[in-house]
Amino acid sequence: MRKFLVLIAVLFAVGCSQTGCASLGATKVQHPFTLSVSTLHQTLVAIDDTERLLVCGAASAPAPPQCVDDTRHREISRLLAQAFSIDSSIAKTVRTLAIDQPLPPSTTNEIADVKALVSDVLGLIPESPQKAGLVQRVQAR
Amino acid sequence: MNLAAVLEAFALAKKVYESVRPLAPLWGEVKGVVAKYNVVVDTAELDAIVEDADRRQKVREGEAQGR
Repeated sequence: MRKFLVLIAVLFAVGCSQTGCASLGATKVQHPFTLSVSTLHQTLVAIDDTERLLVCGAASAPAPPQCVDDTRHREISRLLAQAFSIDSSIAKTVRTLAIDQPLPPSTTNEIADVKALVSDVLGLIPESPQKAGLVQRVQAR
Repeated sequence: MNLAAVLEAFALAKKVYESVRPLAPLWGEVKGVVAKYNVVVDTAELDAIVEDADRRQKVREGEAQGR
Protein backbone atom coordinates (compact mmCIF):
# COMPACT_ATOMS: atom_id res chain seq x y z
CA MET A 1 0.00 0.00 0.00
CA ARG A 2 2.82 2.37 0.98
CA LYS A 3 4.66 1.65 -2.29
CA PHE A 4 1.44 2.31 -4.17
CA LEU A 5 1.02 5.74 -2.54
CA VAL A 6 4.65 6.62 -3.30
CA LEU A 7 4.06 5.61 -6.93
CA ILE A 8 0.97 7.86 -7.10
CA ALA A 9 2.95 10.79 -5.62
CA VAL A 10 5.79 10.27 -8.11
CA LEU A 11 3.38 10.09 -11.05
CA PHE A 12 1.66 13.26 -9.79
CA ALA A 13 4.98 15.13 -9.51
CA VAL A 14 6.15 14.01 -12.96
CA GLY A 15 2.78 14.89 -14.48
CA CYS A 16 2.85 18.32 -12.88
CA SER A 17 6.37 19.07 -14.07
CA GLN A 18 5.36 18.16 -17.64
CA THR A 19 2.02 19.91 -17.83
CA GLY A 20 2.40 22.70 -15.30
CA CYS A 21 -0.52 21.11 -13.43
CA ALA A 22 -2.75 23.23 -15.66
CA SER A 23 -5.68 20.91 -15.11
CA LEU A 24 -5.29 21.44 -11.38
CA GLY A 25 -5.72 25.18 -11.63
CA ALA A 26 -2.24 26.65 -12.00
CA THR A 27 -2.02 30.39 -11.38
CA LYS A 28 -1.01 32.29 -14.53
CA VAL A 29 0.94 35.48 -13.87
CA GLN A 30 2.99 37.85 -15.96
CA HIS A 31 6.70 37.99 -15.29
CA PRO A 32 7.55 41.15 -13.30
CA PHE A 33 9.86 42.29 -16.12
CA THR A 34 7.12 42.04 -18.76
CA LEU A 35 6.04 45.62 -18.06
CA SER A 36 9.59 46.97 -18.56
CA VAL A 37 10.04 44.97 -21.75
CA SER A 38 6.68 46.19 -23.02
CA THR A 39 7.51 49.83 -22.21
CA LEU A 40 10.83 49.54 -24.03
CA HIS A 41 9.13 47.98 -27.04
CA GLN A 42 6.37 50.60 -27.13
CA THR A 43 9.01 53.34 -27.09
CA LEU A 44 10.68 51.82 -30.14
CA VAL A 45 7.32 51.39 -31.85
CA ALA A 46 6.46 55.08 -31.27
CA ILE A 47 9.77 56.15 -32.81
CA ASP A 48 9.43 53.66 -35.67
CA ASP A 49 5.92 54.83 -36.58
CA THR A 50 6.54 58.54 -36.10
CA GLU A 51 9.86 58.73 -37.97
CA ARG A 52 8.27 57.20 -41.04
CA LEU A 53 5.69 60.02 -41.06
CA LEU A 54 8.49 62.59 -41.05
CA VAL A 55 10.40 61.32 -44.10
CA CYS A 56 10.68 64.05 -46.75
CA GLY A 57 8.03 63.54 -49.39
CA ALA A 58 5.52 61.85 -47.08
CA ALA A 59 2.15 63.64 -46.96
CA SER A 60 2.47 64.05 -43.19
CA ALA A 61 6.09 65.26 -43.27
CA PRO A 62 7.03 68.85 -42.41
CA ALA A 63 8.80 70.94 -45.06
CA PRO A 64 12.63 70.77 -45.35
CA PRO A 65 14.79 71.16 -43.33
CA GLN A 66 12.42 69.78 -40.66
CA CYS A 67 11.69 66.55 -42.55
CA VAL A 68 13.94 63.46 -42.42
CA ASP A 69 15.97 63.22 -45.65
CA ASP A 70 16.79 59.91 -47.32
CA THR A 71 20.33 59.66 -45.93
CA ARG A 72 19.14 60.17 -42.37
CA HIS A 73 16.19 57.84 -42.91
CA ARG A 74 18.55 55.04 -43.95
CA GLU A 75 20.82 55.63 -40.96
CA ILE A 76 17.82 55.76 -38.60
CA SER A 77 16.52 52.53 -40.16
CA ARG A 78 19.89 50.85 -39.59
CA LEU A 79 19.86 51.90 -35.94
CA LEU A 80 16.22 50.92 -35.42
CA ALA A 81 16.87 47.49 -36.99
CA GLN A 82 19.59 47.00 -34.38
CA ALA A 83 17.31 48.25 -31.61
CA PHE A 84 14.49 45.89 -32.60
CA SER A 85 16.91 42.99 -32.81
CA ILE A 86 18.06 43.65 -29.23
CA ASP A 87 14.45 44.29 -28.16
CA SER A 88 13.49 40.84 -29.46
CA SER A 89 16.47 39.27 -27.71
CA ILE A 90 15.49 40.90 -24.38
CA ALA A 91 11.90 39.64 -24.66
CA LYS A 92 13.14 36.13 -25.51
CA THR A 93 15.43 36.15 -22.45
CA VAL A 94 12.71 37.36 -20.08
CA ARG A 95 10.40 34.70 -21.51
CA THR A 96 12.76 32.00 -20.23
CA LEU A 97 13.25 33.47 -16.74
CA ALA A 98 11.58 31.92 -13.72
CA ILE A 99 9.22 34.25 -11.89
CA ASP A 100 11.72 35.02 -9.10
CA GLN A 101 14.85 35.09 -11.27
CA PRO A 102 16.68 38.42 -11.65
CA LEU A 103 17.60 39.89 -15.04
CA PRO A 104 20.95 38.55 -16.26
CA PRO A 105 23.67 41.27 -16.44
CA SER A 106 23.87 40.77 -20.23
CA THR A 107 20.20 41.75 -20.52
CA THR A 108 20.73 44.83 -18.37
CA ASN A 109 23.50 45.79 -20.81
CA GLU A 110 21.17 45.17 -23.75
CA ILE A 111 18.59 47.54 -22.25
CA ALA A 112 21.30 50.19 -21.94
CA ASP A 113 22.24 49.54 -25.58
CA VAL A 114 18.64 50.10 -26.73
CA LYS A 115 18.43 53.33 -24.73
CA ALA A 116 21.65 54.54 -26.39
CA LEU A 117 20.24 53.66 -29.83
CA VAL A 118 17.02 55.54 -29.02
CA SER A 119 19.07 58.57 -28.09
CA ASP A 120 21.08 58.31 -31.35
CA VAL A 121 17.90 57.99 -33.44
CA LEU A 122 16.26 60.98 -31.77
CA GLY A 123 19.45 62.95 -32.41
CA LEU A 124 19.16 62.23 -36.14
CA ILE A 125 15.57 63.50 -36.45
CA PRO A 126 15.54 67.25 -37.28
CA GLU A 127 13.79 69.53 -34.82
CA SER A 128 10.09 70.00 -35.56
CA PRO A 129 6.83 70.12 -33.59
CA GLN A 130 6.30 66.43 -34.45
CA LYS A 131 9.72 65.54 -33.08
CA ALA A 132 9.03 67.55 -29.91
CA GLY A 133 5.83 65.55 -29.43
CA LEU A 134 7.70 62.28 -29.98
CA VAL A 135 10.43 63.20 -27.48
CA GLN A 136 7.75 64.10 -24.96
CA ARG A 137 6.05 60.73 -25.44
CA VAL A 138 9.34 58.85 -25.17
CA GLN A 139 10.33 60.67 -22.00
CA ALA A 140 6.92 60.05 -20.45
CA ARG A 141 7.47 56.27 -20.66
CA MET B 1 -21.35 -13.86 -18.23
CA ASN B 2 -23.51 -15.02 -15.38
CA LEU B 3 -25.67 -12.76 -13.27
CA ALA B 4 -23.86 -13.60 -10.03
CA ALA B 5 -20.56 -12.31 -11.48
CA VAL B 6 -22.20 -9.07 -12.65
CA LEU B 7 -23.81 -8.47 -9.25
CA GLU B 8 -20.55 -9.18 -7.48
CA ALA B 9 -18.72 -6.75 -9.79
CA PHE B 10 -21.33 -4.05 -9.08
CA ALA B 11 -21.05 -4.66 -5.34
CA LEU B 12 -17.29 -4.33 -5.55
CA ALA B 13 -17.54 -1.16 -7.63
CA LYS B 14 -19.93 0.30 -5.04
CA LYS B 15 -17.48 -0.55 -2.26
CA VAL B 16 -14.64 1.16 -4.15
CA TYR B 17 -16.82 4.23 -4.78
CA GLU B 18 -17.87 4.46 -1.15
CA SER B 19 -14.33 4.12 0.10
CA VAL B 20 -13.07 6.88 -2.24
CA ARG B 21 -16.02 9.24 -1.79
CA PRO B 22 -14.85 10.71 1.55
CA LEU B 23 -11.69 11.86 -0.24
CA ALA B 24 -13.62 14.29 -2.49
CA PRO B 25 -13.19 17.36 -0.23
CA LEU B 26 -9.48 16.54 -0.01
CA TRP B 27 -9.23 16.79 -3.81
CA GLY B 28 -10.44 20.38 -3.55
CA GLU B 29 -7.72 21.06 -1.01
CA VAL B 30 -5.09 19.47 -3.25
CA LYS B 31 -6.17 21.75 -6.10
CA GLY B 32 -5.97 24.78 -3.82
CA VAL B 33 -2.43 23.96 -2.71
CA VAL B 34 -1.31 23.30 -6.27
CA ALA B 35 -2.79 26.61 -7.49
CA LYS B 36 -1.03 28.45 -4.65
CA TYR B 37 2.42 27.13 -5.42
CA ASN B 38 2.17 26.20 -9.07
CA VAL B 39 2.65 29.58 -10.70
CA VAL B 40 2.89 29.53 -14.49
CA VAL B 41 4.41 32.51 -16.29
CA ASP B 42 2.08 33.97 -18.91
CA THR B 43 4.29 34.61 -21.94
CA ALA B 44 1.63 35.75 -24.42
CA GLU B 45 2.63 39.44 -24.27
CA LEU B 46 6.34 38.61 -24.57
CA ASP B 47 5.63 36.35 -27.54
CA ALA B 48 3.74 39.19 -29.24
CA ILE B 49 6.65 41.57 -28.59
CA VAL B 50 9.16 39.13 -30.10
CA GLU B 51 6.97 38.71 -33.17
CA ASP B 52 6.43 42.45 -33.64
CA ALA B 53 10.10 43.32 -33.00
CA ASP B 54 11.28 40.71 -35.52
CA ARG B 55 8.85 42.03 -38.15
CA ARG B 56 9.84 45.68 -37.62
CA GLN B 57 13.53 44.74 -37.64
CA LYS B 58 13.16 43.17 -41.10
CA VAL B 59 11.26 46.18 -42.45
CA ARG B 60 13.90 48.59 -41.12
CA GLU B 61 16.74 46.47 -42.52
CA GLY B 62 15.10 46.79 -45.91
CA GLU B 63 14.69 50.55 -45.54
CA ALA B 64 18.32 50.89 -44.43
CA GLN B 65 19.31 49.33 -47.76
CA GLY B 66 17.03 51.68 -49.67
CA ARG B 67 14.28 49.15 -50.32
